[in-house]
Amino acid sequence: MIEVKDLCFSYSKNAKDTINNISFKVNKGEIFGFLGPSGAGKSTTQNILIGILKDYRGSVKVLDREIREIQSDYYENIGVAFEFPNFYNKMTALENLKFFQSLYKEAGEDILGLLDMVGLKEHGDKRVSSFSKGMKMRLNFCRAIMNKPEAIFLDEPTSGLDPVNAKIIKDVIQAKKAAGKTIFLTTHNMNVAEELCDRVAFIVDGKIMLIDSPRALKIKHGERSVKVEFRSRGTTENKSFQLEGIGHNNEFLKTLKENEIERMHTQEATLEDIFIKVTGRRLV
Amino acid sequence: MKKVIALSLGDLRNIGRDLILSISLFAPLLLTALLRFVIPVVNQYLLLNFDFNLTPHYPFILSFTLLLTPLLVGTATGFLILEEKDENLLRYFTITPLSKDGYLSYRLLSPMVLSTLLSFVILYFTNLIKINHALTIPIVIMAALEVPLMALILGTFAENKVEGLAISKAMGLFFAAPAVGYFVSASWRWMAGIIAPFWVTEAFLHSSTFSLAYIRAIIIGIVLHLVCMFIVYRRFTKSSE
Repeated sequence: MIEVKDLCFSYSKNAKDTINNISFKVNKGEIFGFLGPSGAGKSTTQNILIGILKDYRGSVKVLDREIREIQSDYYENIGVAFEFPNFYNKMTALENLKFFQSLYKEAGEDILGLLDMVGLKEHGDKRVSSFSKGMKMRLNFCRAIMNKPEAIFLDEPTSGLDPVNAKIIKDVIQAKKAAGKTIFLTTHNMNVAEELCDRVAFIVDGKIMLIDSPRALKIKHGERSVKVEFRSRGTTENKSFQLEGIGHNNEFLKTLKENEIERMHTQEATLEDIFIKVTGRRLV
Repeated sequence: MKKVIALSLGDLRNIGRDLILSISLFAPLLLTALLRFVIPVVNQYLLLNFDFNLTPHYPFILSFTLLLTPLLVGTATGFLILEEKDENLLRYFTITPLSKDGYLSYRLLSPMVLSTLLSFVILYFTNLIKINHALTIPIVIMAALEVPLMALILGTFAENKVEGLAISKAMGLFFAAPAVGYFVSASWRWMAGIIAPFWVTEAFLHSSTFSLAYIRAIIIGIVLHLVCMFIVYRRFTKSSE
């Protein structure tokens, strides 16, 4: 679906490469997360994938087409939500979506249905100028999927959203994946990546440091132990046990039997910890 | 075609919801009515009371109106571009089937068509002077080139609408050039010729017969407009990257 090979890019001839020899593949029906701090090259890579920057070296194929050679019909099949939503402020939400939808050949999704889905139905007739950042973000998301695209590119799709609305957007993204759509997600929010992505790539200084599934990363980089917190003689105590042979670990079993257990967690690393460990950088 | 209709409807909405933009598109029509109904009355009054005949100046008055139309349409277009620039919509169009080139073609060509139509309405409806049809068409087209020029100057050099307002005022000064051309007979009047609108008036004043002066004004005028437009267009696309 998306195939990037030996990609290099610099903004001007003499400048250092912003993207330094990266390669990756995204399969059909996959949610692929591109993670990294600001300035790492996330947006540049996305801009190359969506054909805004064509002066790259190496090969970039999306929907089996080399981006360097795409024509405007490429855009019939992709959807993009930039990090900062851009609309006609004097038009209503509904007018905006209808306007942008009419730029496509096919009829696309039912717009009222989309607005309903993200909780904007009753705001459809309000001008976008009166929208909050979160409402604009949801409208922006609707626009990215209204032409029924095969590949969807989302830049920080939940930024500025409250947890309820963020959950709605995440659910729709999952539904799109289930329908076989390919999703390329750019973010520095590790929780979003962890929840949504089948695989993530860590990008720092224009280089990909690793590509793997969040689950595999957490197992690989986590400690193989479980931490048990329990009440004992009026205070909370905790003990850690190795996962190896834990079913035969008498001390562990005794702790479970004799105490009131408050919490029990495997000591897997968070994606954020792993990112810092692998790249030596913090996000944000 | 579907896209052009969608874009035009969008523009109508945006213009209709903005008082200044609406007025600036109505102004050429208002002016037409003024020329047709008020100017002859004024002429009568001047003739009776001051023994001043305005009739010989009709061609100049009309040529000025011919310039005002693209100025107004171009400025309105410039303000639409500024709004779109504010919201970064140009970047968004790049990733739709319309494409950046499609958007720019529409944004610059459609107001040219509108301005041309309005100019013809003004020329024929005002009925002030007898017009040589064949020779007037190239002049109207040259005047229509002012539209993308004005729009691009605003879109390139103004960062927002407030700056746009200031620049559009300053652009009005360009229209002193045709006046210099008309009222000054000394040879330094040609200095005003470095400013493009000068040639619209110059050509119009010589458009009663096919003459060297006419053809010279048309050629220099169109070339000058195109050169200016090319320069500003390049700056605009660079600044919007």
